[in-house]
Amino acid sequence: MRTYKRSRPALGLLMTFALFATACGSDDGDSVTDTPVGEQTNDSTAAADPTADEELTIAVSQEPPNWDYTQSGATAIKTPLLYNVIETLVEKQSDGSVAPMIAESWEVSEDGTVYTFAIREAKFHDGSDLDSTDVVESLEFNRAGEGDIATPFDAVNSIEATDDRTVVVTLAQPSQAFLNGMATISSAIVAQGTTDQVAQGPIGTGPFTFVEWKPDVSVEMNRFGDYWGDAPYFSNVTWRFITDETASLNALLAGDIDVVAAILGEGIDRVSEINAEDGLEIVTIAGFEISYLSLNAQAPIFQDPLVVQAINHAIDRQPIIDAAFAGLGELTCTFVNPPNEPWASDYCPYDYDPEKSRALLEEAGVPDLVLPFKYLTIAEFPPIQEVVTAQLTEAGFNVELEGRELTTYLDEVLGESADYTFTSLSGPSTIDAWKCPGFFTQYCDPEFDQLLTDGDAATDSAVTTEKRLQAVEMHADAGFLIPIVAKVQVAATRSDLKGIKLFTAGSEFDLGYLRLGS
Amino acid sequence: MIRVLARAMSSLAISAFLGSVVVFLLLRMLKGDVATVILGQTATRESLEALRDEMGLDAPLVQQYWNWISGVFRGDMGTSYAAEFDIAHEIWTRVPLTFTLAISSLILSAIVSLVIGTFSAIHAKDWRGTWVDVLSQIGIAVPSFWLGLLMVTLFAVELGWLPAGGYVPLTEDLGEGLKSLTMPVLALSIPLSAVLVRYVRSGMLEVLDEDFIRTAQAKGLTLTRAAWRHGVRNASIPLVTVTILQLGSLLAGAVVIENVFTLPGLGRMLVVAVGGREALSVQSLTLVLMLMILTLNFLMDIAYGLLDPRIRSSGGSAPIT
Repeated sequence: MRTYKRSRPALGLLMTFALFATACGSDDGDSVTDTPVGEQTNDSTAAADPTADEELTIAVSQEPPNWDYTQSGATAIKTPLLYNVIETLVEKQSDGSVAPMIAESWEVSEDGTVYTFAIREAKFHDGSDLDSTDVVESLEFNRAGEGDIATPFDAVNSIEATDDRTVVVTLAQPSQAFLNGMATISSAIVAQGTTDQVAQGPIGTGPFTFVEWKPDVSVEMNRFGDYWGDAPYFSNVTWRFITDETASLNALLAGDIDVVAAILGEGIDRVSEINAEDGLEIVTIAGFEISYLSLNAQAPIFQDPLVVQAINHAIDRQPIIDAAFAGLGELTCTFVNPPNEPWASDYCPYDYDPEKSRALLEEAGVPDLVLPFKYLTIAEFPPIQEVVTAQLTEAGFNVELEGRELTTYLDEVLGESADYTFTSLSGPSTIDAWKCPGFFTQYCDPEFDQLLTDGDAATDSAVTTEKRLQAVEMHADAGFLIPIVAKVQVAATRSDLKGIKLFTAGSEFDLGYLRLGS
Repeated sequence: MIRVLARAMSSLAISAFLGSVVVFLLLRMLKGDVATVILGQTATRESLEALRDEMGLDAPLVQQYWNWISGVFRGDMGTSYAAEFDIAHEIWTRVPLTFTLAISSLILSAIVSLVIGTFSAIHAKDWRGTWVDVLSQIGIAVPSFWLGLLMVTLFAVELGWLPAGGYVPLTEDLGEGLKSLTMPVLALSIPLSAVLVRYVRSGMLEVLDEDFIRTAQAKGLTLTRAAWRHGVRNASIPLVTVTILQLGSLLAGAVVIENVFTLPGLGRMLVVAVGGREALSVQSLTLVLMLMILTLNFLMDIAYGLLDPRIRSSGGSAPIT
């Protein structure tokens, strides 16, 4: 079977190293481990000691309602689970390429419509063996899920097990999104017959077993003794839910916990304090989420394109990044998530020009236009709101603030009627989420949709890149979705904790490479 | 005594019923429901409808209320929508923590305020009384969460004596458990003591003017001894009333304090459940909290009887002062 690899020099080197290590250390010569040492983590030294009896405590600020990743794409679910408890068919690397995981190899038919995955030998946490029927059931389960998780299956006709170790996926037409999607939680594999237990804690093949969820307190994970890959360094990991960021950073300073996985809210002001502290450091992890402003294209005031342009010219991104993200992250005017995709672009159609905004409002005949701004009262949204309000006021808008707590916000803005005019949000979605009917911007352009569809169906990745580039630039021109920054995940950690993966493929916090070292 | 009991019991039942209806209706008036929380940002209209239907959120309000309240009488509060845990069990496992927190703070504050309040009444006319006044003013002005944060900075981050947060059950490890409760109890007690000190002080000042204190002094006791031996018991009645009345605000304070110290108590559960629109959990929790407060009020009525024989014989409650 021909192994499909979009190999690049850095990854090639890693694979060579991994193959060499496997050949020396394992009696299974065919298996491929893809330990990303070196440039993919904050560690430049050797691999972990798999026998250490070490514990790790990580604080996370959000607790999901439950662990069913097929119902909600919440970061709060993916951060502890992905790659730690559940694994995917393939895994995304820092350079955007795809590496083996549960599928130890795969081949694609010439016309790009048939994917044949060779499933590795591995055990689930309940002791059962992984085979192709587990994979088929899990993929079908994910395909029937809600929202983003089902999207990569759009082009899929059938998923079949042809023998114990082979799964064949047939597509209606070629789809670039399919294999990329298989490197996300869309291809998470759990043991056959356990899909109804996922909400309580899934049974996967990852290096850690899901031991116990104490609602509102913690989730505990133990090292999985029968893991197919390298055993992780930590024998026990506790994820503590600490909603209050002041409390979690204090716990870190007091030595009660080892890591704060993501600083999202008021804690961002303490980044330099943590960095200055002996024994602690801040680590930034790329590929997290995009933060953006959204205009409701159906709102009466936005029926005049001049008003939409006026808002776009009023926004100065850098002060927003400085105020809400401590200056961290990559300024962007196009919606490319993660920002290292080949169609990333520095295209910026609207320069910051408040005078022009005022002139546009005058021209539209609506000086001092009242602009209702619905915003979330948690995390980074209050500081974003403050800066954006100041900028819009400077540009001649009369901003009316409407603060909302999370659940009310979800209902009003993302619910059935998109009851808002202007808002600020961030999320892990890709640009595809804004296809008609345009998600909650309600902006619909068939030409934009066609570009994305053509890009997905192209067998040549250069064509895909070209089409998607055109699509994101066209969307930026329309101005209803205003990307601000490709956020980085800001983690605070004790400085002797090594092996933190410096990028995320799907909001995960990968425990597999973590270890203590000088 | 039986009349007191019967009256207290029936007012307890009526208050609990009315309270449960109010909470039930208020929750239905909030925007967003548990389906929007579970499905998050990418929810579609169809999936929201399907999930609501599955969870029985589409049923008529009266039926929803009946299903819940009849379950409560059977000891079954239902399971939470999203996490699917048994609500009664979850509440039961959290009661010891919140109860320990509230009761320890109440007792500590009552003792501290009794001692300091009496001291300040005896020394009302010199600088010592003035100092107690000033300190209690400051104590009242300090919010407990801020005090909690200050203590964390000092005792956990700087000195490393106590954990910054988290909870170890006392039954698991007594030492660690006490350590994890020390700062939360202090953070709740200090502002409460400051309030109570003022009541004790004014109560004691009145008592010290009474004839029986003068009689005691005439018999050879010093003012201090007379105050401690005969005054404290008399000044305790308003203290009990005010202390129990503070219980509501103490529980509200516990919600905040449980957040600051990440303690998995009823307060945290309530905050999380409201945010997650877990209607059944919120209803059951508020019912339990109401019953806790009502029961304590009930016990307060009985405590009056024990402290003051006049109330026992008249069958009524004592006024606040």
